[in-house]
Amino acid sequence: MYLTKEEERVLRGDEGEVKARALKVIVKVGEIFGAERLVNVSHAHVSGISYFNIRKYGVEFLEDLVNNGAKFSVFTTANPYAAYYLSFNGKGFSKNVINNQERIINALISMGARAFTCVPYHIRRPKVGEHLAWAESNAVLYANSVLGARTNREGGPLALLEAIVGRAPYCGMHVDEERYPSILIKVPKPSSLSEAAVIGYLTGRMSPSKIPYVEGLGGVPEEWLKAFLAGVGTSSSAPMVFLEGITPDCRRVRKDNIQERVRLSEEDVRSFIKEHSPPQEAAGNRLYVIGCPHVSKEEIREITLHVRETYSNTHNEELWIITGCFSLPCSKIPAKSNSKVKIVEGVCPVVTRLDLLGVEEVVTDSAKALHYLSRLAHVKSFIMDRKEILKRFGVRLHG
Amino acid sequence: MDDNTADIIKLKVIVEGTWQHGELCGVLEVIDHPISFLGDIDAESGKVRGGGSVKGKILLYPTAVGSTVGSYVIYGLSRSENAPVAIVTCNEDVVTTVGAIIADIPLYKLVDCSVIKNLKKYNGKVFCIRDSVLVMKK
Repeated sequence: MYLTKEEERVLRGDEGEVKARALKVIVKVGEIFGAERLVNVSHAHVSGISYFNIRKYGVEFLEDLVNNGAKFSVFTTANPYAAYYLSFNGKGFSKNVINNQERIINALISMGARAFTCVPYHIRRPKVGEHLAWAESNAVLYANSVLGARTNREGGPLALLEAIVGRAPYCGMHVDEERYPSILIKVPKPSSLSEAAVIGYLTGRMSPSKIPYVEGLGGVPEEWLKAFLAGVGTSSSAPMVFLEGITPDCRRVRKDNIQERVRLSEEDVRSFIKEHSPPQEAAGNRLYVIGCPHVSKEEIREITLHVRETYSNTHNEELWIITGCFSLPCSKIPAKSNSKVKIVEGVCPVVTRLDLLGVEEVVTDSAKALHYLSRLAHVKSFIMDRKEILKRFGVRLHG
Repeated sequence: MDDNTADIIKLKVIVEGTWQHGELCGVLEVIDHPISFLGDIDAESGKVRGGGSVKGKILLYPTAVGSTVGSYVIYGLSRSENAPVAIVTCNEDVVTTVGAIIADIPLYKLVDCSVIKNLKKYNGKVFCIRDSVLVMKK
């Protein structure tokens, strides 16, 4: 691989052992994918932040980096952490979980992490053609597909090392020739946010590894595109979707050249939603979650206005509405809450062992959360539209 | 590959260890399916789900799949002193490569991936890696 003089200097250890080792990893990964060189990135986004995922040795790895003087050399944001400071019906996490999760957060902050959220594009909107090193699938898909920026789907540890060096292998989505669709999928127009999420999830299933060209989502609101792409990222390894009428790269490609063509039917979407709708009566302690991916600042402002401080219900049900910790310090106090509704920041329910809080089932408006909650958070999961969930807790939005 | 050639298996070096020199020897542990480190291997004990430990062994598997947190599991094996002496895989994958470098475990690739099925029967025998060749210890 071709390395610049400066990169060779770093690799030799002139800027310390940590940076040399980080660059060694990046070069090796680049060689695997046949990258001829590295590229400077302007923004790194790190995943693998929850203590429930990276456990004791992940904590030690991060602290080891800090103790060896590691610093992020570019603008760096991090994924949300486990909901370690929250409680459900009064029950919270053990001291051990709280302590370890705080150690992870502190290590990242001391290396220079600026925020904790799965929607880094709401903090700093990358420009068309900008090179990034982002982990977190929904963010990668959004950057490539909506913004026309360039990033591969990096893994958690790799993005961390790329943040330290400020370089990524120049291959995959960084290169024009690799940004091409090879399957055309016609999808029905969503009529709600959760429908958009399910359409994304089913689109991903139809294209588990190919980059799809999707017809039918022109004019869809940005919050729904987020939900759609998060769904795609859950069931597909594709790092990008060509959204007709939206993706800047559409100009470069001719959809007539795409051989494989499939169609997602309205019936498929309806029956998926029906199959995953919650029963009227909860079978156990039920939590409702909005905010996978994190709700934008604007929408949180709108929702906050309509949460009634006096609201209560007689079921053992809570609603968590989640947004990013978009700037430090992160708050652990719900922005607005009553006994049943909490507006919180910086956390991710999917990477939280909700079963340890006594939660038995979760109802969400997100197809991504629906998929992962049952696998990672050890709870049953169901889907319901955002407006319906809010209404159930006395929050009525206009329009 | 037939049994006559079973004792000479060519490897390609992917990641060199920084402190291991000369010959690397250990009991062979062949897993003949892709593994997901997060879930399949316990970093604290070195135990493989439904199998033995990887500690001190030459660990061989076709490829690592699943969460990229798997790299931290490989690092954890090294921290808990349960690391294999070397890892041999068929496909160069990101999870293993990142893990091997941060954990400082030598990583090799099989030149001919098809030998992996035949190697399974040598599980438990001591093998050594020297000059990019994997051989059974005489």
